[in-house]
Formats: sequence, structure tokens, C-alpha cells
Amino acid sequence: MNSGLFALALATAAFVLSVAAGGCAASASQEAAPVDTVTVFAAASLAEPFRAVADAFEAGQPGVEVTFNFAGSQALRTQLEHGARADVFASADWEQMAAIRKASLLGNTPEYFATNRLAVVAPVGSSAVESLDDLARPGVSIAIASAEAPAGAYARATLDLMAESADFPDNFAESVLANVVTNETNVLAVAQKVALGEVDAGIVYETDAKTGQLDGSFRVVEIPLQFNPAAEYPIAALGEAANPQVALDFIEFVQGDDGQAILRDYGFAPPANVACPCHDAVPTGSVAPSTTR
Amino acid sequence: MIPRFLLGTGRADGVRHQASLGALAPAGVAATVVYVLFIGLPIVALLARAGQQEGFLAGLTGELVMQALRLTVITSMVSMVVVVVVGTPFALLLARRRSTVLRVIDTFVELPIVLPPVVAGVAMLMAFGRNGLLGPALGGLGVTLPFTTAAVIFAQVFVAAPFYIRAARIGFAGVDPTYEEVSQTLGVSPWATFWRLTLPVAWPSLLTGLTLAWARAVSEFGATIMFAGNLTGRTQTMPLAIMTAMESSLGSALALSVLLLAMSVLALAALSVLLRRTGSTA
Repeated sequence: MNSGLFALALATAAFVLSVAAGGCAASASQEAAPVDTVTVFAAASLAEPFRAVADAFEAGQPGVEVTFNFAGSQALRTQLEHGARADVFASADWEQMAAIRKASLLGNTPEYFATNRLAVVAPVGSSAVESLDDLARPGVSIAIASAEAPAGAYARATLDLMAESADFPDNFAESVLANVVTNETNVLAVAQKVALGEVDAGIVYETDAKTGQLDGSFRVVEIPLQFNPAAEYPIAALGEAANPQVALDFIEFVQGDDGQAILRDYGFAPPANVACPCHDAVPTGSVAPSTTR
Repeated sequence: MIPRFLLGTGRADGVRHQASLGALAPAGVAATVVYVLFIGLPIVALLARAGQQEGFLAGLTGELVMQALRLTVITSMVSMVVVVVVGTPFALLLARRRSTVLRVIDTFVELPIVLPPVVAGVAMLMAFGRNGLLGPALGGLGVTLPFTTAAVIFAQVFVAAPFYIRAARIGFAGVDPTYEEVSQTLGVSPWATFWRLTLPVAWPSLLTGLTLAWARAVSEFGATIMFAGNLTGRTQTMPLAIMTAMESSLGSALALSVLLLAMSVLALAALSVLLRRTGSTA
């Protein structure tokens, strides 16, 4: 009865296997030297800049390979809390880093390394949202990140700031949230829904807005600075890092001139203040100081 | 040496297989133990942790859980109505008629079972999204599908329907057409023949297929989050609510997980009771 489907499945499997085998053969010849891997859990909004940072880092460190897990910072926090192994955690807000610190999972003291802000983006072909006021108009569909995700928490704080000001009606935040049709788990999913034109607008980071504007995916409606508090990104090594020294080297590279230049290219601003709000002096685990190299 | 209850007795064919297992029997028993533990342990751990978890009982009656439960029950029921209304005549045709076109269709009926659900979600966005294939036409009619409760139902029907259609086709194929012909030569109308002969005979298969389809609809995640989004009370079904709660309140996530587990067990139990009542062992 299903011999047709079976034949199709066999053909597909054979094709996939042959491609995979070819890929393995190619990569086997390249990977001769032993590789030190550093695993970085990073906020979704860092996906593009951190890939570029990793390329530059690997170029200067033969035998070191950076692997990533990009997701909403709150999803990464949950994974780490439930035992995921990683060497470095870069979060889009302090809350998620604080939770990891409270769980005694950090290997050093977190430091801020970049600053971001929010922007409203809208599909190129749509005129439904031309100004911030349009966000509250009935019938407009909006995608934002969930309240658990840093981008979603920042977005809600920004809407509250607007509602409190004289420039917007008192119920502005409620009106906008009533137009929200989906709470995405990370900011890239928000950007994707806007780029597909499936919603009238989305609230994302300025860096995502800049990237999407450059490749023609969306229009940007800027959020004035007084409603747009800085989103500060902390980074830290994890206590159970498999390669503590490489982890610290990577963090140092991100904070150094080369790393900061790449982040700036992608629209991030340098941190206003490097020190995180670490009020109590929690012991920081077993990672060696980064000056030994 | 090997516990008697694991080898099983009773049915004649069972005894014959037992005899032919020979030296393989210990391997079979070991594999059984490993497998039962593999499936059982996580479920026991889920229940044990839920019992101790702070906020579990509050989570059970909390707004997040209640809204997700209500939405999941309503959407899955509507989906099953759609699946039965469309799937039953379709399955009957597949079981009764032979043609090249039908054979090709028959082959692809099961595609959604093997297709990753997230691919189904992307595909539906490409078809029914605002910028999708039918998007402009739908927009002209004032219909927007993505990120609505209707999109949840679309996603559920897409992934779940094959489970019902496949079982229904097998069930209908098991009804000897000569009985139907006899019934009709005796002057019983085709409709009445279907209701009084075909349906009762195929009933166990239909019921089994419907239960599997319902369970698949209730657990649908990938296509839903892609095509319907994640909004409490409108598109956030229980699996989506579990994922969201996992990132803020483990109590609510466990409450939802235990509820879904209970629903699955109840569905299996109800199916077995109903099948026994109809006197069949499909």
C-alpha cells in the first residue's frame, strides 16, 4: 500500500547519507589538531555579532573552537539551572545572570560588556504602523517577546514609561498589549514574524532593527531615548567550565578592543559601567585568574 | 528463573512464540525491564517532583493553567469534529475505490506523521499567512488566520488527521463489501447500510484512530508556535504554556505536565473500556 512512500523515504535517506558521508570525509581531513572547545550560551540578540566575534577569536587562537547555544536568555538560564554544561553565559539582562549567580553556578564575577536599546520595526510593505501612537490603534497586530524574555521585559517597561509620560494616553501600555498577537520566546522570533509580514509591527532591539533595515527586511520606528532605558548585557564564566582558561580568554576578547569593535559594527554601544550590581561578595568558584596566559 | 508473568501465557499463538524464543528469552526480558524503566522512571519522577513542588497546587488552579486547559480542550474538540467530518468519507473512499490518483493520495496521507511539525507550521505560514499563497485572497475576504485560535485548529488538524484517516481506512477495508451489497440488494439505502452495517463493524478502528488523533492534537507544539503564535487564552495551548512556564514558574509547568499526563492516561483508559464494551480487540 505504501511502497511509494517507502521508496521515496529510501531515496531520501540514501541521498542524505551520501551527503553526510561526503561532509564527514571533508571535515575529517581538516581537523587534524586536537581542539579546545569553548561552549558559549548567549542571548538570541547576540547571534550575529557573537559569530563574528568567535571567528576573530578563533583566528587568533589556533586549536580553539567556539560553539554556541543562542536562545532567549531566560531559556538559557532554565537550561543552565537544569544542568546544561557551558563555559560562558552572556545574558541580555541582569535578572537571568543574577539567577545563575544565586544558584552558585558562576565561575567569576559577571561584568557588563555591551548596551542595547529597543526599536519598533514594521514590514516594508505595510503602512499600518508609521509612528509609536499607531501601536495602540485598534486592529493593529503586534509581536513582542514574552514577559519572561529580557526583550519582552524591556518592551513592557518601555511601554509603561510611555504611558506615564504626557506624550501618550494613560492607557497606552494596555492598548498596545491588547494588540499583541504573539509572545515569542526570543527576540529573533519577533523579528522573523515582522520580516515575514505576518504582523504589523514588533518590538525588538536596535541591533536587530539595524540588521533587518540593512537587508531590507523592515522599516524602523525609533523609540525616543527618554522612553528607552539601556539594556545592559552581562557576561560571566560558569563554575563548571570544562576549559576555564579558554572561557576567560573568550570573555576578555569580547571585552577587548577587537571584540568591542565587532559589537559596535552590529549596533551595540559599549557598557556604561562594567561592574554588575553584585551587592554581596559571593565566592566565585574555581576559575583561575585570566592573567596567567 | 524468568518471572512467569513476563513471559505470558494464555493465547495459543503466545505460547508458540514463547517456545520458539529459546535462548533469546532472557534478552527479551532484560530489554523489557530496561524499556519499562526507561519510560516509567521519567513519569514517576514527574509525579514525585510535582508532589513536592512549591506552587504546584496553586499552579493547578492558576489562571495560566486554566486558560491553557480551556483552550486546549476546546480547540482539540473542534479539530476532532473537523477530522471526523472530513476524514470519514475520505477514508471510506480510500478503502473502497481503486485508482492511480487515489493510490498516490493514499501514499501521501501519512506525510504529516513523518513531517516535523515545525515544518508544517512554516508551510502553513507560507500558504495561509498574510503574505502567503492564499494570504491576499483571504485578506480580501477580511480573514486573517495566523496568530488566531483558528490557526491553532488548523495546526492540530494538519498533524492529527492522518492518525484518524489511516485507522478509519483500515477499519473500512475490514468490512466485507459483499455484506454491503447484500444489504443494498435487500432494499436498504446506502446511507442506512453505512450507519447500520459499515460503521458498527469499523467502529473499533475509528475509535482507536480518533483517540490517537486527539492525543496528537492535544500535544501539538511545533506547528502551533510557528503558525498560531503564543498568546495566553487565544493561542497558548497546554504544551506552549508548559514551555513558557518552564522559564518562570516550575510549579505551573509541572501542574500542566501532570494534567496532560492525566488526560493521556484517561484517553487510553476510556478507549480500552469502550473497545471492550463493543466486544472487540482492535
